[in-house]
Amino acid sequence: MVRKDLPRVITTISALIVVFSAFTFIGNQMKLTATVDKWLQVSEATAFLIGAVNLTRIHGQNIQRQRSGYFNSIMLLICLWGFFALGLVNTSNGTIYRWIYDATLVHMEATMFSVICFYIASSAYRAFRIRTREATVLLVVATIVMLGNVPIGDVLWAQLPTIKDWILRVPNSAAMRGITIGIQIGGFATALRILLGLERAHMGGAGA
Amino acid sequence: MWEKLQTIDQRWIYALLAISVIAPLFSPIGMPISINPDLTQKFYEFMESLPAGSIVWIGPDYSPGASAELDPQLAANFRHCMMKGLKVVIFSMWEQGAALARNVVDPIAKEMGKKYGEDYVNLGYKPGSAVALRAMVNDVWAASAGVDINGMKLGDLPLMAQVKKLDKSVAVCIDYSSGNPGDGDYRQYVTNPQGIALLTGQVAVQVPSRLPIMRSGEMKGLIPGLRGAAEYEKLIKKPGVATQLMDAQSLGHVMIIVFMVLGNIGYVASRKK
Repeated sequence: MVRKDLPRVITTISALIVVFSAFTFIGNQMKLTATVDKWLQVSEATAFLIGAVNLTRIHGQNIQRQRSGYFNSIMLLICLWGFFALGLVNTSNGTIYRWIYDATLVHMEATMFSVICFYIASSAYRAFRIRTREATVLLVVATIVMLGNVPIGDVLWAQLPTIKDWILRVPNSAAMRGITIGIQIGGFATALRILLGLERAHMGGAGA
Repeated sequence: MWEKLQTIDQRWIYALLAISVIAPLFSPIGMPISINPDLTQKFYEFMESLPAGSIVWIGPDYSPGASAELDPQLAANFRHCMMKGLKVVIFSMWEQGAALARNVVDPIAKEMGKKYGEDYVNLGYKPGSAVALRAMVNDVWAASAGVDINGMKLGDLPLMAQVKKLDKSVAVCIDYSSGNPGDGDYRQYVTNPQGIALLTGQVAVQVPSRLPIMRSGEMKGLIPGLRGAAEYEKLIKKPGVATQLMDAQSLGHVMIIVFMVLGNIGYVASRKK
């Protein structure tokens, strides 16, 4: 009961407080939103701590049992707690802290993202085949948008950027609006199910 | 032969794409860049309409993965702000955003002889995403814990005397976005409820999803991807890194299209056979 029902009760009560604070005059007068925001910040910080402890526990076991790739676990824990300790000693504005951050993380993440470009090229070559009428339309539109997005499109044909803009402005906007409305209705329905305690997927179980 | 066109080794694709992207960096072609009248031009015109001394609130809400596109946008826009004598306050909902912005704006401010604390302030990253943003609406000083990105007291920064709340005292909010949290939170909690103008710089992949919002008038201008950054550099007559990278992006796109066409020629020919 404690494991199943208590989280549902807490979720429903929390949701009702948020609804009351944001959508009622009394809630606004009592400035409940600011209080709920503080709860959210504290919860978020606690979630980070739980995440770090959990990560340490799982990777600690990997190292202890020398599972395959346990060297990666060692590196992860050194980076996690080493950077944390450095932040405490050197502060997040310290020269060493900032140097490590700027010289490693920034470039590694940028590199990871850049590599996607090669995968996109390879997968576009393999996937864009004019097998059907729809696939042909997709290929033609993709080609126009890709060329219209870069200066060489202007050089090849001055009307290309105009056509690209029309595609993005009219058919794309119409489709995006439909998708957005669908997403919002779906989000609202899910939120309502969580509030009523009907949805349990977010707690690790299946929905009702 | 036609079969081979459909199964080109991906290492060839990678190699040729790398060459087509890298070569123009060493030997620029200098292709002409036209200005998008509905997006970048509107962004620029709005900035031009602001009187000197206006407060501009900038949110660099992105990580290094998006910095190739958004750093040049921020650089061009920040330079424009400094050229016009606007006052800039930077605040990020992304942990890495404020540090990235610092690396972009500090050298420009130094080059232009602008003073930190008087012409611009970087409040840094504040945890809590939309919660932090909502807290800024009520009290910027309290939400920032009274310090900027460097731990300096806001009381020691003269510009912050003009920025107590994220409200109408701010002329415009500009969000550089590569995901969530981002411009959506500004629309929901700041600009729409208070009637403050919102401008945005977006990574190219997000532009299609923002166009309906741009058309609805909720955003006054939008810089689309690296191309938009190059357009903005052209508008302020200060060609920078985005202009240099346009040739590389052009040839990269052409190379992808060439491979797509080759694959389809092989497909159609082998089907007829």
